[in-house]
Amino acid sequence: MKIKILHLFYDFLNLYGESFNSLALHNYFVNQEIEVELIKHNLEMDLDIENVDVLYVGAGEESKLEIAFNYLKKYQTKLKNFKKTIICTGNATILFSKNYLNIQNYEIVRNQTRIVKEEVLKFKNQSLIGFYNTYDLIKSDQTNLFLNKDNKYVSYNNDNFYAIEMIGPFLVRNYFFLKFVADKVILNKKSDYLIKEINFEYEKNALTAFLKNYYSIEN
Amino acid sequence: MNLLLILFAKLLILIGKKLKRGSSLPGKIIYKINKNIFKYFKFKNTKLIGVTGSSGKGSSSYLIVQILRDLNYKVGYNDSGSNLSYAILTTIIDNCDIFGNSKVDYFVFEMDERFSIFVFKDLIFDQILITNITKDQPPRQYNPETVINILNKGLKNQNNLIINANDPIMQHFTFNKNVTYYDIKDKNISYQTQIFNNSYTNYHNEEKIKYHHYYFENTGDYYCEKNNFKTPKSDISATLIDYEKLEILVNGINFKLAYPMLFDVYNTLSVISLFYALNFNLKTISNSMKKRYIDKKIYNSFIENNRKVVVINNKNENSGSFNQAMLYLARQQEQKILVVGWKEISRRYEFNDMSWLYDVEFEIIKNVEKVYCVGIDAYDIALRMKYAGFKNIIISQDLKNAVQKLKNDNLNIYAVLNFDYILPFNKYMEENYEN
Repeated sequence: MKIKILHLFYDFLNLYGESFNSLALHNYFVNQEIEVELIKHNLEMDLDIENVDVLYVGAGEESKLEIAFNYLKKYQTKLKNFKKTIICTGNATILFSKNYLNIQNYEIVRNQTRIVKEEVLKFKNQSLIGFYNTYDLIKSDQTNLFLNKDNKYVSYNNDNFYAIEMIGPFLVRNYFFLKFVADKVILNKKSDYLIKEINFEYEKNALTAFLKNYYSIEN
Repeated sequence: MNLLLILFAKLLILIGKKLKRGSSLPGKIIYKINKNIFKYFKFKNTKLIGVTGSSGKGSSSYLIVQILRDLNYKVGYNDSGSNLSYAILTTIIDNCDIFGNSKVDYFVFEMDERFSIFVFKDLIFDQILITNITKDQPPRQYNPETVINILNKGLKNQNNLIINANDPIMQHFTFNKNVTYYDIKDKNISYQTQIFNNSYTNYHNEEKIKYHHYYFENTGDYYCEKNNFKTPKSDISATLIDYEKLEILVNGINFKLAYPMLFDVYNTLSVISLFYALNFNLKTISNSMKKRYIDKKIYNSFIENNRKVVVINNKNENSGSFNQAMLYLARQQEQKILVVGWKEISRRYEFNDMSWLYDVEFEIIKNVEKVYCVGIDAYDIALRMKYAGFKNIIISQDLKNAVQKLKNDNLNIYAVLNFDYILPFNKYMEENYEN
């Protein structure tokens, strides 16, 4: 089995450490002893998603997102028919929204002021940490991914599509969400694949210490 | 009315000085009462110099002031710790008479890059030095594009800019402007393939920028094939950089560096360029720079137990500043111990964004025997180090404990620390201090 990750606009939408999200996926698959290829896509390449299993795109500056959108327009049908995993973080969530490519059932509402905040969220009863730095928030009946402190769902999931509003190395810092997504990718590809337990000691310790130090939460 | 305001502000400044508490409060009060107060001041025989950018503005402006004072000029400088408009107004009030006439030869203002627009709208500067615009303080600056757009609005009516020709981002500011460019033309310190994989701005008008060679992140000798976009011709060029001797050869003249690091080369070049633009004799500037000294809070090197200890101050939340230390460490080939840490990520915010740490290219440092991750976020730093591929990671949330452990090791130590850990680290290391 071979898994192909395509990091869309790798060197263009690369605001703050988001390249580590595709690397986290890559490393997880390697640790599962799966052959993996990470394609670092750039604006001057064609978009070939024929055999791609995971498509990741990170946050960027607002003007760059428009350029990215103009680029993706010609692949709209292809992307609409792409049923494998898509993960977008930060304001890159706008690309697949009704506002832009219109291939998912959510829209982006642009705030007048920038939203800069850190939040402890819940995913399957586990605490995770997310950092917002955006004008854009997801509006949909299906905002169903993470539960925030007000007991409201934020971000968006539809089958294999994940629109995560937070920026930065989200998958690195939230290892159990990484595991959840990555295991699904593997099992979608080969339903009888025997998932191995991966040592997440550093990830666990970092998250535990962060939640304890800054939020007095015992994870 | 303005006369009374200035008198009042001067009284406040005087009280502040007596209490040894310099602050921007006088400027703040006066500005709240009269928002046009900047227009009251007259700079007939005074030149205004503004220094701004994501990093290096403090060091560069300080060096400019040192040189001007060494050459017996009277200088007004906002060195009381604030670089926002109120501090600048306070500095002006302090250095003008009650009728608003400047009493100094030069005003040198270190200005926050986002808030300089409030000063630019009221003052016309003779020279503006922009050191760089990089990824910096994400919670406050959002992203570089935001800063570039704001700064550009402020620069609309301004005159001469001092700009790094090696940095394509700086080209955002040059439209319709007089520009003095500086650059490096020493291939010995360059590299051919991008090693900083998370650098900002790789494109110009949707075309990927190519490089004959790089100096740091996205600075280098660059060009685009389709767009007419390339490294502009420079007025001031460093053709030879000697980190051992702490010297650079600029336009045929030797200048002293304070630190064996690239950021100091660019800071020094920017200052030389400023004096070039002001028509100073560069040999005079070179002589004045011979008096430069190392600020041990920025870079400290000493011998402890027969091994070298180097302590470098990084700037949290600014991967560019941190990456300067990485570039320096990549030159150190020996087996070594790396120490990374801080007391707190930021004093400004209640949250603790860690994303910038992933833009720091630890991956370029070779021969790291052990990494010490220190401070409240030691576990998060350790996670980043795991991703960098380091095998021997030691975690200590307590700096003193970490230093005790370090003393049992015998390899050279390179500590990259936030400013809040520099003095405590040096203090704990003080035992066995030999040099």
